[in-house]
Amino acid sequence: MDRAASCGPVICRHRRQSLRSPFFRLPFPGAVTMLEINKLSKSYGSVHALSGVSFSAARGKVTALLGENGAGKSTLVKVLSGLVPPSAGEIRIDGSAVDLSSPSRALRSGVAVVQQEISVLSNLTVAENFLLAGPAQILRRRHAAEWCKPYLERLGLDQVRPETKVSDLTIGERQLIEIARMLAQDAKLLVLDEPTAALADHDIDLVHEAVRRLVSDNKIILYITHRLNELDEICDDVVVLRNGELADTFQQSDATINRVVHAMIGRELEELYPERPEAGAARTGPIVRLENVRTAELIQPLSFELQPGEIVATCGQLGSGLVEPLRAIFGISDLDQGEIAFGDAHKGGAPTGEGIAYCSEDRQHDGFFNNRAVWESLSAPALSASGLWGLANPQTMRRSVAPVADRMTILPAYRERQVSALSGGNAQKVSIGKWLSSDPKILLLEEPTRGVDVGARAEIYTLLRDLAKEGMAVLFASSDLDEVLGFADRVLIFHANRMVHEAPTEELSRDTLATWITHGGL
Amino acid sequence: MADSDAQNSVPSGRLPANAVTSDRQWLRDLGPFVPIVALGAIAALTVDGFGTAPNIIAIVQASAITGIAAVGTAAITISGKFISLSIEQQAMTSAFVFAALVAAGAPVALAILAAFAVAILLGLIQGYLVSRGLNPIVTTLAFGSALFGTVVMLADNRTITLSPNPIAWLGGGTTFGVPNQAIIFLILLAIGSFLLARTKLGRQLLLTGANPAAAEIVGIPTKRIIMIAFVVAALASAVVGILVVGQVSQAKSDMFRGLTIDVVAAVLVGGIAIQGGEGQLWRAGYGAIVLTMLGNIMLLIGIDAGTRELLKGLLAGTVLISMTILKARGR
Amino acid sequence: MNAFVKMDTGFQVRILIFLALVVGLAVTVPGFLSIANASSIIENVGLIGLIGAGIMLTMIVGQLDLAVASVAAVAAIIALSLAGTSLALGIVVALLTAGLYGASVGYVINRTGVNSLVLTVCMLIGVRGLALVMTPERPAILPFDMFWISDGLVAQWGPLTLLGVICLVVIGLVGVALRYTKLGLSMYAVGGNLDRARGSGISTARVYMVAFAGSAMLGASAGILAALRSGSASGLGFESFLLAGITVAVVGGIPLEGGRGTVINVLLGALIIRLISSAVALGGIPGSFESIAIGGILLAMLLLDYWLGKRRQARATPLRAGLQHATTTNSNGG
Repeated sequence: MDRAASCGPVICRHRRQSLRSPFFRLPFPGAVTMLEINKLSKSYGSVHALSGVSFSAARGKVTALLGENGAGKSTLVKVLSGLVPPSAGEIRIDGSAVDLSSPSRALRSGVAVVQQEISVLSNLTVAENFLLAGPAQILRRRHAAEWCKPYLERLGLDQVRPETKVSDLTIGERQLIEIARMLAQDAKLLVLDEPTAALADHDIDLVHEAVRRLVSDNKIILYITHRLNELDEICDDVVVLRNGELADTFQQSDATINRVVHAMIGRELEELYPERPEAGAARTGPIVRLENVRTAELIQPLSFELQPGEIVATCGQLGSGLVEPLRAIFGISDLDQGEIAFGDAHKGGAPTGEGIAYCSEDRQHDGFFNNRAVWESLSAPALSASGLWGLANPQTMRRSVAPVADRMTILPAYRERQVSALSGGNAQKVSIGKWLSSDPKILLLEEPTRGVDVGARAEIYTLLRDLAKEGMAVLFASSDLDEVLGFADRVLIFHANRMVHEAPTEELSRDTLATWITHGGL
Repeated sequence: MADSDAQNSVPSGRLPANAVTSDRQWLRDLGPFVPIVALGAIAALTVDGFGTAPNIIAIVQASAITGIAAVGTAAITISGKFISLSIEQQAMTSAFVFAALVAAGAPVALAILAAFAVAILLGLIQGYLVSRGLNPIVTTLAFGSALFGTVVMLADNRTITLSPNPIAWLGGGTTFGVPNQAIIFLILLAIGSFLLARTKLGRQLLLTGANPAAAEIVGIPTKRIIMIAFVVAALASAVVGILVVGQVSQAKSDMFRGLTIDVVAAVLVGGIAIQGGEGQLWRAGYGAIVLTMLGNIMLLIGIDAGTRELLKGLLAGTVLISMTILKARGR
Repeated sequence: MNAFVKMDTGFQVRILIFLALVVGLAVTVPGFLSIANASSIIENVGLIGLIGAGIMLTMIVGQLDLAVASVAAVAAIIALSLAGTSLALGIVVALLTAGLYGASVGYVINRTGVNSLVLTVCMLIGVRGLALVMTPERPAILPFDMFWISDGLVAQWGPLTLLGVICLVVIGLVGVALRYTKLGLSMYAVGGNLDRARGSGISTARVYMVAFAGSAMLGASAGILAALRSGSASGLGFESFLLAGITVAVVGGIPLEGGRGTVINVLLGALIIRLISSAVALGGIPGSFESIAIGGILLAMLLLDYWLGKRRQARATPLRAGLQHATTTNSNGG
């Protein structure tokens, strides 16, 4: 196949090196098929979520879109999916402007967005999900199965029957159904918004494999991710956004971690994790001890202790049972067997609230009170601990949370505002900070920095380390290996609903930890 | 969701440009009272018979009944469980319990206690069901139907008439020219507002309505609080039931026809956020007064009952929709 | 039998309740097995099924329409008031009015995100007021020379009446439309997960508008048919439609969370309700018992679904994904 032919609209099956050209410099405008985004802007009131972003993405390539939270990625995705209209700018595919005025028009123009939240409908069958995406207004249900089968096979889902209810599939399979469904609509541009964020490693491989197949089908793929290691694995070009503007674009081969991080946060990455204290500091004996504890989500009992002043991580893939020890200690998960001892007293279950603080992985859902003032969230644990009966003076409550709010660097003007007005990082501070007024001994955190931008992350790590130095025991669950290795003193490793290993962090390398959590052994 | 990105783009720890707290807070707090005062003033000047003492007393008296029930129901709304559709039936039950006991010769105090006890029981049952996660509206609808049938069957489909009526002074009497019902209404409104804003129970009720999952995590006994909200609503209906027996000296099955609707309309027109977790209790009473006043004015200028209902529905719907839109904007 | 085993537990329980009612009534109540009673049951099942089917549409999309009874009253009044000119015209105008009204309610709900339960309560009040406005002195009455229509509707052909047949056919059409059109499927999608459905490119405005227009029009048809049967429609009439419709849907097994439910559920719910009413009527039990029984069974079914949902959750969460992993890795790794 000669070069001229491979640049035309003819479908070609291998990657075209000729398109590894710098952005904005198209040799023949219109002749090359690609996505062009020109001076795209979007403002919400006085806030500019996107200002004058321009870049292009080639067919048959995976273009990674990176940026911190708030950099404008999700606004860009919303514009592309037709959910919000841009304030200015245009988007062209193959040289012609696309109509993105509604989600259905966007789809018709060949722009398919696979949202971060999996959007296949779990109350429908696989085939019905395909029908929903299809053009037919009258459904021929008998033909639906045959029709969607090839698309499923295209992504390696041969074993999935079209009449299966989606709720019976694993998360990874659902993600692939989502992509397959977009294929069925003949999309030219596929926007994958963190498709692997919620997946276990096995499923991540499935998705990567599927993306490679899409590349060979000559699609334009915009791949949004937080996992920098995915750049090496499947991406060709990298586009970085920062504060709503284009920060940098380069080829994957030029992508060093430093360059990427610099582009994302606009400065060199300082030490993200605070220093660990000297090992072997004086410890006063366990603050909590789990003996042969098993919950409904665990297939094997586990035992461990927490010392005051240490930071321990439970690490594993999502759904591997890593959050269970936290939930058992807090008393959300019932114990099927074993016991949890606090200090010296033995107890069968755990009390909630008595010196134990817990933040779930979904802070929007249960971390704070969105429509009420920040100080009310901050004072809620103390309020509930004081019982139902008696007087409560709002002024006193406001004053009593001031020290905590100061410590969390939540400015006074913010404290009267609703939590919903805060950024992700500040909201997480409220979620954790609310417990500090009740002076807990044990801090249990699930995925403490998920969806938190780098700046706020460093603040949170420093705060947690300080709390540990003051004698609090911190147990956090995380599927982010870098965070676990960088921040924890000790790691409990989970695989397939049991605890498989326990080790001090210094004995673990990134590779061994990855092997443990993916295979449950070395 | 649409602008979470915009918010996230604000660097953490720094204030967004529009974070200055409004210094026009008092205007927003008093704003709702402007139309009610204006309406009253205009009506007093233009509508014959509106400004007369008996008419004003009648308005206050009529809004007291709806208002008391609405203040109770607002507890349910604030707890995040929307509204109850069994208000009529609860009030009727209490009226029957009270009237039957008085007719049988029991002391008034005992009869009142019994009516309250029954109300607490009814509130507990519904509150229990709803706090476990059953849909509040359908549950109260079903409960109301079963309750209505039970009471009618137990009363053998008869009307209980009290003669003499030992609490006529309470239902129809006045103190210094102010109807006793209105005094009770204002007292209950004051107690309720105080409970909501300045007690641990009230503040935890607000938090439960704002986010039950978060409330549960910080240790607020949300199920118990929802049950308490339903008991409060049932007790308010019981007060209404007893007061109306005092007023009309009898208990019959259709005596509260339309009360549920009036109460729901009052809660909505008052502007209590239907999503729960927000709201000042006085708004329920305010809604009741506005609705009664409007109804009274329309009656005086000769608008028929159907049109009054129509406008009531439209007004409630308009306030509901504009509150929803305003809330979405504010975010 | 095989099919029965495969159904979900909630549906099995409902079928058993239905069978128990049929057998119980056949044995204990004389006259239950008569053709006359069968035709009355079928006719009324059709009528409350019609209301239930409308409410089902709004439940499938995850909302609830509480204004059906008021809409039925207005529609019936419109149809009968215009009957003097032309009954067909009256019916068309009534249905179109209901449809337009429903579509605008759906539009507002989609546009503002307002809670449908509460908005339709407002509509319940307002539309009822409209019904009263339209019949200020006396109910709307079918012209005397048209009473043959009432007779025709309830004339028996075996166990069937024209009224029953019309209702069942309309319900059947709703079922077919739900299953074999993309719009129908979209309704399940919207009810299953609004954000996901929106993300999949479904026009939620259209879905809500169709659901609420459908609910209003089905409620209106029930109102019109009932009014034609009795020959009059009063401004205060049809109030029992609301409870009946919701009971039919919930007792039939349509979950309030949305995303599920078919006309089979509606028919089953309507049958159960009607059998209970029929037992009350034939068994000489005081009429107030009917509202106890209906309120009671509605509560019982809410509790049943709640309990089954809890059990399903408890069974579904543990280990499913994890155990699969464990078995595969164990066989690989040894």
